[in-house]
Amino acid sequence: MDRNRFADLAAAYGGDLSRWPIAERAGAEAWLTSSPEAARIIAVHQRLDHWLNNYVVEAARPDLQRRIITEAVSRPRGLPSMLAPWRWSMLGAGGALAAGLAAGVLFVVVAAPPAEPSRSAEFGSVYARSSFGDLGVGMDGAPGGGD
Amino acid sequence: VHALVSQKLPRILTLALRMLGDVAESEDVAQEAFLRIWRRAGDWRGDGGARFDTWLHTVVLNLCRDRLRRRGREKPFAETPERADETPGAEARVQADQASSLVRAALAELPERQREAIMLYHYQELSNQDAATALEVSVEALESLLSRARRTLRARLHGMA
Repeated sequence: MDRNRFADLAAAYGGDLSRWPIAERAGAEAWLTSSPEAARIIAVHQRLDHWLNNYVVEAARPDLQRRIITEAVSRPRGLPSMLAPWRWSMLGAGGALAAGLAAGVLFVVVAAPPAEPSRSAEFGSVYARSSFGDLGVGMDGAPGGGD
Repeated sequence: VHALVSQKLPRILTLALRMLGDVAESEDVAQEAFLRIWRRAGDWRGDGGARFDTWLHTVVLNLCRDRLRRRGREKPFAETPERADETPGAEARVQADQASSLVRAALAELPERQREAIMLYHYQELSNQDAATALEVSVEALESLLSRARRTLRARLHGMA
């Protein structure tokens, strides 16, 4: 341990040698007892530590601890939150929406007239303009005649 | 569950409070951190208390970082209203509040990584190795972050004093 290393450690870890890395403590304590400069360095950092310790924050409120414990005991160990009940309800709503959309598409496909020239000729222009042009009806009413 | 919550909650909450400066947000972070503990409970490999504590600090740090980014600013501390207090011992409390506010403001001005290093090493009292692990840096890099942070804090706080 030399002066520079001691100063570097104090600059990083502060003025409390008990918080310094274990491997450095014995050398630091020996240097501290033998060097007035080491004592001055430590005093500077102890003042900063004291300042930092002025910053206090509130303790946890009792109801927070109760809420967290209630949440914990209501959920089986290791149960991912993806499987939490409220997520299931969202999943159900999403599923219902998807099913509704699928049913709508199916209705259009089933309700659509067969791709026969005689019938499609009546509606040919309508199909050609629709977004379901891939039903296989061309502008002229012939199957597969579309682009 | 009771033992774990009562043992870890104060540490989690104080870290979140110092990072975010907002009680409601800090409580949300604490709750979310414990949700993650329960989520991992089934497959958690006990590697010793120190590693669990380090992992927990990493979780809380990440949750706080997410919230700070969502706020769109890196300054972590919400303003606290001035309060008039005329009860016995009020003057000492006012002085303590003022000192606390000065430190909080000085910390808020630090770059994010330096502030996190101070939070973990000084306030959370993690070892240098655990603080470095939580920040995903080497011990040497942690020392550099701490040194720069403390140099800045010393200049600001001694100036204010």
